Amino acid sequence: MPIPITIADDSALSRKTIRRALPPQWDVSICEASNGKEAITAVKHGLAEVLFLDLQMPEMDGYQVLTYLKQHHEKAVVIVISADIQTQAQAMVSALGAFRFLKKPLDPALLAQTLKELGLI
Amino acid sequence: MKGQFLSDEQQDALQEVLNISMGQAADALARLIQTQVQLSIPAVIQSSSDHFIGLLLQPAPHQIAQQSFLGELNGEMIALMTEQGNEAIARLMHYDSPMVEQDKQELQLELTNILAGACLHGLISQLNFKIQLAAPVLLNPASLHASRLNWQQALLMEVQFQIPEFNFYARILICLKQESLWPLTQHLNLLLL
Amino acid sequence: MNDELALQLIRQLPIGACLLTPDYRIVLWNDFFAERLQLPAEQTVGQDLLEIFPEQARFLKRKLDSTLILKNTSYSYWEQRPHIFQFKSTRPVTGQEELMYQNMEIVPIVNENGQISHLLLAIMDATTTACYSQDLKHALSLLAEEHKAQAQLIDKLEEAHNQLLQAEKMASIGQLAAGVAHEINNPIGFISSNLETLQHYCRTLVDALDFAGDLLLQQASAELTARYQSYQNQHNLNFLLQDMPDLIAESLEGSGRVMSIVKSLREFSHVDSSEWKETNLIDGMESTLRIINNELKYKATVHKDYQQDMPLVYCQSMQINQVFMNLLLNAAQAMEQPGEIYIRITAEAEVARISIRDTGTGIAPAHLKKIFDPFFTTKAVGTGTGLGLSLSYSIVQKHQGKLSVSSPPGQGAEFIITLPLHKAPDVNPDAP
Repeated sequence: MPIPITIADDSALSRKTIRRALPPQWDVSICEASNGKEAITAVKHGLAEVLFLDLQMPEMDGYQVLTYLKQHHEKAVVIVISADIQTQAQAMVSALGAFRFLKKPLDPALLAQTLKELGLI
Repeated sequence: MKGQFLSDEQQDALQEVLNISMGQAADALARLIQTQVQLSIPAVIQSSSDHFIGLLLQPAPHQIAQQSFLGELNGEMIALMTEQGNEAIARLMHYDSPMVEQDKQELQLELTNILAGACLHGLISQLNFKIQLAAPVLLNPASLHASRLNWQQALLMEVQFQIPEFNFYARILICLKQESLWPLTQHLNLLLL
Repeated sequence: MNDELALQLIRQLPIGACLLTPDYRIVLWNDFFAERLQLPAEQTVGQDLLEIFPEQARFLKRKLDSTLILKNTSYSYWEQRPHIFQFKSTRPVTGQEELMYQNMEIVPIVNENGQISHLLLAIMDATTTACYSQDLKHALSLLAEEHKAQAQLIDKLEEAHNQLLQAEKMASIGQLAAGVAHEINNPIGFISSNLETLQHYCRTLVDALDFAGDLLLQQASAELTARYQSYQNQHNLNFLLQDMPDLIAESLEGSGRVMSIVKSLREFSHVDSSEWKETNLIDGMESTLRIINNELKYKATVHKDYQQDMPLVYCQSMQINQVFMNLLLNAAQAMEQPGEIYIRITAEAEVARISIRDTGTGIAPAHLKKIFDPFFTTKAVGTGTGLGLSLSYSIVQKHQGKLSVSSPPGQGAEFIITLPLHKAPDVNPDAP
């Protein structure tokens, strides 16, 4: 039974990069979202046990998504993958309940290690 | 205005590359001054020389600096920034206070080097270019005239930085003439493979 | 290329090259640095750069740290920071500058792990560019100054042009006034003399009527007396006889005033008043005061102190009146609130002395020297001529006299004119 995951990023290139960086042995079904609203819809429909979340997106940004998920007690495991790598941004997302913060450009080895640490693979 | 210079995929890829570069630039400045920097969503625009001059001659209280890059990609970066917030940033960067005119210029050039330099650094490292960066210089807008520019169309990559705490605002334009775009599109295509 | 050659190349590079560890220790110090600072490599290698140059330590540390954090080249320019290191000028003979103008770059040297292993501090000589650029800036600022001076001159010319137009206008008004005065002079003359005659006739007529009334009373004819009384009442003859002399007296006074204004106008703007002649200065002052009475009466009370038996002065009376007028008008204009003007005319051994003192705002010490310069004015643009005092000065000078001013702070201003009492042998009345 594949795990449902969602990749939320407004950039197609970025979504492709994340998709390619996923460990091949990880059995997942992938949903893609290009803004925060779509990401929340995916979570509500059970399509995002793991959510890879960009911070700067149109419509609704990553911070707003995290706030929404926290307020509605949604259970998704959120891994933020962001270009804004300032320590203040990292602190803010972990305060909002994100499990991990990964920097762009994404390092596939670091992603695999993170998934391992979280017991997902 | 979306450029015909680039396909939709190329545009999306370039925007993401810029996004990451901008993040690195903001992080560099944030670490230097221990203050969070706000980012915008980068824009990629196709510009005529008239439009370009118009951008630089805006009546806003902007100071302008320029920094050239040459190598596999040839172009210039323009940094427009407010004088507001200068004193606060200077203090955080251990400048003497109050600043005399020379200090202000030095700070402006340093901020240009940090922001524009880091942006370009991110761009070329992601796209695998070999590029030399020249020293930044101050630009006198009065010396700019659209009629004297030797190009009609250019690609402008625009990113904006804000430090709301200090009312500081900077806008970086990475500018490539239409004639110099070929290497950029080639490298973007490699990224899209 | 072998290591020795590479090292020799670096040592002899025509730029200053200094290699540092990330904790600012000097690893390499090339000849450019060593020779220009008279500081051999043996004394610097292994040392902390910031300790060797404590005055620049703060700046250098900032630049080095920024390079370390950003992993990007840092720059410094001669324009903002001309002399980082105390290098002697590269133009000791032809140049005026003492020290070399420098551009600096601090380049991070990154090892294979992506870490900064060293920092290269490179110094480039920018003296030629700097001096060229400064000369250019100097020349530009000179040009700008000249341009500004020219613009000011143009403004002054324009002002002068306006003044001339104004003067011409005033002159023609003066001529007109003189012409009108002349034309009025005759009719007002016979009006006046006729009125006097009429006054005389009137008195005779009143006497005649009184005489007639008396005669009627002596006749004791009740009927005649009653008819006369009724006629008198019907025509209000008593009032008429009472009022008529008053009317004539008032008319005479009015015509007298007209004659005096005409006389003042003629005295002031008389065609022949540029003539040199023996003049009573008090008459001149009085006639000037009458002309500008309207300008003065709401601004100042005029106090006069004229010496008895003032001798006549040989002068151009109209021109001297003009000087009086300029000084009096200036005094009035210096009043921010109603004040006093003291006029004193006295004769000393050889000179007549006219003092005009006011209680106005006075003249700033910085302005005292300049107030007789043409076009100098402290009045708002368009209100002051800037010519009045300089004109007065030249008129007095032409008379071999002196015009001086004093203005003790807070006490208004005093102008003193002295004119020679006697015609000096070297005065040439026909000189322009």
